[in-house]
Amino acid sequence: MQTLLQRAWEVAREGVLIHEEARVIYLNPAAAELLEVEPDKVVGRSLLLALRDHKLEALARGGGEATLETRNRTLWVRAVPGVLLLWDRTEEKNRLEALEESSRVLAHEFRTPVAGMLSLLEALQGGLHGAQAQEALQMLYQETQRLRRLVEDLPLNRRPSQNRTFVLEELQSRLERFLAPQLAQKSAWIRWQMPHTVWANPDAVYQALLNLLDNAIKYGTGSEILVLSGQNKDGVWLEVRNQGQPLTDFEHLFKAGQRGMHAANVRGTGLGLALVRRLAAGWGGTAYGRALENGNAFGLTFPICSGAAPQLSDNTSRSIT
Amino acid sequence: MREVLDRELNQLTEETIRMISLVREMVEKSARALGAQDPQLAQEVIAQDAQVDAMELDIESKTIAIMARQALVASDLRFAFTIIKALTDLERAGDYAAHVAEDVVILAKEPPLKNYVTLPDMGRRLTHMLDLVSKAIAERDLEAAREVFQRDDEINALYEEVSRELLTYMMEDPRTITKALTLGRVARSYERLGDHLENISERIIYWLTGKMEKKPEDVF
Repeated sequence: MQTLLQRAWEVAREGVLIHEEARVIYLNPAAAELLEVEPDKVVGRSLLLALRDHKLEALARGGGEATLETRNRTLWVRAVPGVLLLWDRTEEKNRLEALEESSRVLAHEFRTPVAGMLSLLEALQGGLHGAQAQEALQMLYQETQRLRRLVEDLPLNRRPSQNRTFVLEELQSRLERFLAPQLAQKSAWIRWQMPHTVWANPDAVYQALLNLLDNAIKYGTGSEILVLSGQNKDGVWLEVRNQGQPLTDFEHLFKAGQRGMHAANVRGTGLGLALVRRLAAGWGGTAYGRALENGNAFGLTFPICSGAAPQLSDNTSRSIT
Repeated sequence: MREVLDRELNQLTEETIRMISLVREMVEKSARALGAQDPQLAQEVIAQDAQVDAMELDIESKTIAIMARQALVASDLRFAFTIIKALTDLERAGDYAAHVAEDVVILAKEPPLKNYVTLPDMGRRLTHMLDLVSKAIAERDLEAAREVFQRDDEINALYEEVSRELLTYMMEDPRTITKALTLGRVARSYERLGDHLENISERIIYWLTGKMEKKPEDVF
């Protein structure tokens, strides 16, 4: 029986270390791996020399359970008299961190639209009447529907594509009215020139533009923000251009958690542009940034799709490098 | 007689391992506090520094007592000197972890300059170096001691990277200077901490081989 038990421990995934009078008597291969020790160098020697961690040693001596960070791993440890059991929980911890990241992304996606909806509700509460009230209600309805679709799309984007052909101008009035309070606060306005037709999910394009415009309002220094679309041989591009100090390194801003140097005193998560890039990838396009003479442009591209070729309707074509 | 000496030297080893483990905890917490901008966790690190200082004095006096009583020779004598020298470096390493924690308390008062990624990564790499130092002493592992050299090169490279990045921030926007200088101090603390761990490794190699090994760039 004893031999069988020992053989079982030799192949177990959990680590087990047996000690007596603060000396190691036995440890199985899993424990040796988790503790990064060589069994022949620690068996018969003091417990601390095998564990090499004062908290782990205290637990082994005093008994109990704990999660500890050691050897770049997260270990869940249970100590009973003479026995220390070890489980590697590193992957579980990493999964939890990924989940927390998803929650932060979700919060970011909801923050801007909810702030806009709140402004509309306050306007209604303040006595908006007639056609204006109807318009505000219609916008609130549309925005609620959009957020509902956003939530439905969350489970790993496995739903059928929501892409369709639409004119970018479709999004203009909703965006402008939605951002009106923020624009008024900064005494800024948006000049729209986006007559092109694209094949994409309108909700995703709306969300991406909302993020880009939100950034332009927050970090731009001038009053005017230009939203401009154009076309080249690869498809349609759409840019949000604002005035301000030209940036130098755009790529790192598209990584989650990175913020621009001028963002130090403005609240934000550094997730916006990473999300914009992910949204653009969803319709097969890209997101990019580039410096202008007196400002910066953040843009989206829409590939030419067999389903709906983009239409040429202006002369603002240029290449994007 | 030899048995008594072995027991005393083993006790010395254990207490040194315990001190390394405490410094490791401080470094690990400092990196976590920096990443999460957590001033409370940083305060814990600052408080632990006094424990490390007390351990240094305690182990030092025990080592001197053994040296005086046992008239050590050869590798035993080299071991005792290794411990004496390592204590100073470990105490300084604890100080640097506490300095980082003090800077985290300052940084946490305002929105971050950016999402701190590289600096906590430096801290995590240093905890791994401390694991290697601990293994080298506990298992008399020469390779683990030599690996610390290599890891310190990585810390130095990250330090250069962070310094260059911070310089860019300061040049492009003078409003970031105060914050960037504080972050520069954090990077410098971690870089110096790595140097102290390298010193300990040099001593461990001397203890185990009787020869002093230095990195090529440290030999003039």
